[in-house]
Amino acid sequence: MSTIKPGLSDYLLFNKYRAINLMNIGRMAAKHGPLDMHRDLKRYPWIWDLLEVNALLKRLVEGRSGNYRKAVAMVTGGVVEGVIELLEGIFYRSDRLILHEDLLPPEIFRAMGLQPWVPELLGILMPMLVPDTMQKYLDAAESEGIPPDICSLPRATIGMALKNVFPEALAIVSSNMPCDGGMSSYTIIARQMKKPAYWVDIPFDFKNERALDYFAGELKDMIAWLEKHTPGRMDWERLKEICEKRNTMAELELDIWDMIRHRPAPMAAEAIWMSHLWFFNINPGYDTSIKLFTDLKDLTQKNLEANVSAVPHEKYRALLWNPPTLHYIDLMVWAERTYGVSLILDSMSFNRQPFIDTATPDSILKSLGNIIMQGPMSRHTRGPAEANYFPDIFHMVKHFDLDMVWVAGHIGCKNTQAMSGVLREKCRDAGIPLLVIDYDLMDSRITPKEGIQEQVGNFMENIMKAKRLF
Amino acid sequence: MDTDKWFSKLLDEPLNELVQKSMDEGQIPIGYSCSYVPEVMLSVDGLFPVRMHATGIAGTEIADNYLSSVICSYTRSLLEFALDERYDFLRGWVFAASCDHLRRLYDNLEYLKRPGFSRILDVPHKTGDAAINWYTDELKLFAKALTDHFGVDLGADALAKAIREHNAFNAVLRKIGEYRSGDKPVMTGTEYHRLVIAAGTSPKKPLLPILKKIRNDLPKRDPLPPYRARLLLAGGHLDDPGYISIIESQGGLIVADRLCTGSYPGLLPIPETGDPIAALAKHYLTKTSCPRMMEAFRERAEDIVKLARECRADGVVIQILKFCDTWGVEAAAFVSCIREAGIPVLRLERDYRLGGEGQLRTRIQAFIESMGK
Amino acid sequence: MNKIRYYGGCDVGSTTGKAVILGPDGIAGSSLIPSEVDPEITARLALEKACAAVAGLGDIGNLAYLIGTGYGRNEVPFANENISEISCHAMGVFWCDPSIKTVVDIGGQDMKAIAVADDGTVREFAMNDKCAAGTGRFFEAMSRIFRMDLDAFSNLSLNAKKTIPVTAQCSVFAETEVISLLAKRNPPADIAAGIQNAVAKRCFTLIKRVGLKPRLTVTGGCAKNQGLLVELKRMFQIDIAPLTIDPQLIGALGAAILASRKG
Repeated sequence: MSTIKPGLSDYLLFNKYRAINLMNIGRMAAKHGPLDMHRDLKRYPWIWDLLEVNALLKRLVEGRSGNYRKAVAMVTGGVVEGVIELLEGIFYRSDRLILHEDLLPPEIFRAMGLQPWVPELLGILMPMLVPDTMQKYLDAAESEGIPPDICSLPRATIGMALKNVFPEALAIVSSNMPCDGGMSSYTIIARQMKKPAYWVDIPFDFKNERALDYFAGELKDMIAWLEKHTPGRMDWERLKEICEKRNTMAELELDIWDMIRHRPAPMAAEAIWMSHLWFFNINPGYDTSIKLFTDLKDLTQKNLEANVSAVPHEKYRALLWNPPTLHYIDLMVWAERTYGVSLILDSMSFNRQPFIDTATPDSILKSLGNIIMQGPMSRHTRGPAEANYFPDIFHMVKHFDLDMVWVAGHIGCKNTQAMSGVLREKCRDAGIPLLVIDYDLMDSRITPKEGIQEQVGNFMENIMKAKRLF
Repeated sequence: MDTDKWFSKLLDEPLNELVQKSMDEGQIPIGYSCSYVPEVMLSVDGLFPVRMHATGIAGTEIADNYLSSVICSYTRSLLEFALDERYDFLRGWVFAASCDHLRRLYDNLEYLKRPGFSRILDVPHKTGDAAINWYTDELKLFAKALTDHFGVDLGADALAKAIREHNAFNAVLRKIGEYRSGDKPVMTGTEYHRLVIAAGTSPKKPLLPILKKIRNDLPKRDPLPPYRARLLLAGGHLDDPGYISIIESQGGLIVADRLCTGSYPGLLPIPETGDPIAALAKHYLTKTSCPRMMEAFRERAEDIVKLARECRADGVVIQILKFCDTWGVEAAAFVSCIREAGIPVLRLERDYRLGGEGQLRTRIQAFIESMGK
Repeated sequence: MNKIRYYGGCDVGSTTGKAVILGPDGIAGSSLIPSEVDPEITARLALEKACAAVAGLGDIGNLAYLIGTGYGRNEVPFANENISEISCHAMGVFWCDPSIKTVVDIGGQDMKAIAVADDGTVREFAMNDKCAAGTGRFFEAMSRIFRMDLDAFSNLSLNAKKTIPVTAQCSVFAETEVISLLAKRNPPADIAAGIQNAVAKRCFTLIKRVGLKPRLTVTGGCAKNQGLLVELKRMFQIDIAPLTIDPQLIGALGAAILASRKG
């Protein structure tokens, strides 16, 4: 396969997306008006961090070229549009605003005519934009007695609630996903925000009809509760439409996944994981999301047909287990250039239940329930690990022809930490090289960027016997 | 017989004198590790429950290799003991999917060391009708698995009998507990906790007459020497009376507790009429006070305040195991609720293994001083 | 006459600098010096000393190939290349004794377990670099508490009658604990045994992560700690394979061997 060096067209592409992002942000600000914008910037100081998006774009397209560069820029641009839509929801639709835990299905809230806001979203987005920005919220939570060993995502989310930087909402819905830390955080968030809260319960052992019925019942009760506590009303036709569009997205994504099985891969990294993370979790069933996946598929296909690999000199194909290293989000950019590592797929994207049966309201709720229970994070933190955790890892390695497993060993993810010992032994038996990166998702004081590079470097050079490409 | 010493000895080893004796008589010991596991179902003819503990654990080096050092030290200690063959006498064990730590302990044990019978109960995180129905079904499946494996009878009559015996046993323990809470306590919290833990970790039949004798003798005892403050002890798993004894050595008498391994509220009677499994499901879901239950924070907090007032506690001590997510977050919220109610509160983090006694003494002493006692 | 080719390996550690010169007949010279503040100076001094021990070699510039390793490896500008100490320890040990499959390297400020593949490369490794507990610095701090020099402290536990448990999860806590144990008049030898036991347990955890395959050896400065070796032997129930050269020089030796394959 041939590779392309960044050239003039790449430079122009970057500037084009930078201009689009600026234009979109400018349009939002103009629509909101200077006085209201000024007030809301004070009310929501984190909006300043969101404005750093073009710095993120620059870091993510660095050294990448052609269709791969374009795909990454497109996904980043799509996220910007998505964030703007959420912000406008806060600005103009606060009478319909609810907060919901990040793994609950936004499809339902949208179909009810509600404006959803995911509290964890900022904890995921902001460290990507400004690596150290969450430290103040982590410290705020700690000074209120939240133990420092709780996962930094719920801890930072608690910190944001304590600092009163979330929008006022009518109600809060949460669940026992994905972990105890996340579940418990809503005790504090609901108490702090003084809003009615509802919790959805997801069984531990989910692979049976009994669990599916129970969870679908929980979703039904949640809808009834929301109808009681908010002006939202379920529009089943609307839900069906959203779910059908989500199915279209899933079909496109599966086609892309099929193409990246090819060695070397025609598409990689953020084009794969960030697209799933944002568009399936925040904007499922949007026409813009379908358009994005159509374009992504098209770019992937073009690369495949033209025999172009996304990562020049793809030498190693990696699986990333656990959420990506948020405070060092351009880790893969560095690893691509330093060792020719191509990130093919990750645990936050991979799932085995992509489609929704839209025949009846019941079948929709069951399918949505199944998608959540069998979906990323939920699936890997419950059910016996023998049935869900290891089989997924080994299936992905085989199916996508991967050379190694990288676990982003976020110190606060106790569910992953507690499986590392067994995983090490299983990978050793299977002859699969395993790297566990010790770090914290968003607190670079635990392991700075250089510490992550050193761990990857030690692994690549000593175990994979890789040579630095420069 | 020096009762204190005898009871202490029962806690020294998972395989204690009474467990051994029951095994010699052909009874089958089944381990369990969480209050959501209905020990009544392990108390039918032929079986007896043993709450798993790892008293005297020196270190958790092998367990840390598997569970990592950021998991709660109770679960790590259980894994270490299991790998050290200290639970080999158990013919099976039952866990509850109650928290991440216990779930992962189960996952590791399934890989590293699996006894003939091993099960994890899927405990819902809510207590409404749907959750109770779910847990009823879960317990029915559990009963069937026990019957299939051990050939024991868990029919309605057998369970009803087990519930009656359980209630009778707990009535004695509850009564004993009153002697530490009254105006002039005759029993320390340490002594009471020792009895409660021994009751959980030993077969109940041989223990019952001894507990009855203690209950009958208590009214004849002299009141305890003066103490500086009456305290309520709340928090998660604690099976070491030594921890309470350090608190009491500083003059803080534990007059009541809200521990999942303590007296309240699991010792309350289970309804003896109706479908026994449904009664068990409801009892264990609603009467086990654990922060893993969503939606019930306010009830738990109010309950502590109410209990503290009822037993005229001067202050509340919350002890939690380090790395416990649910208690870690909940304790932070408890502290402010209890303070808002005007009750002094001290929050302590600890390791499963008793250590740092000097620091603990200092903190308790300072807490009591801060109350002006 | 062809000029003899010499290869250099220089291991710039946090507390010591080591250099090994490899000639046609094996090790031609070596050195071991305390580290300077500047790793570059440490490297230069160590290499100069080792080169001086080789007759006819002259200065560093005459080495056919030089590889830097260790914590300060990126600061050796005159090296042709730098390679991580993990690969160097594996290679150094393999050269000394190919039957050794597991290495635990305990240096001044970190601890590593390395599984060595059949060709002397690294099969798997695990590191503890977050905490000084159980490393050279930890032992130095401990010996200060006992008012002894490091050698005397290393041998102290050999006379223990029993082992008093000490936590070595954290070096700060361990110090507090040891001070209070000494204050309670416990026999120093028994406390020292507890310390060695605690460090051995840390090694155990690390080795468990890479899988223990016999034979096992210990490298790095702490390999000279007799008390620790006895404790490790007891814990693993296998002998600790002795090395033919100073275990503290293994990293530099490995670097020199890798250099000889390049030049």
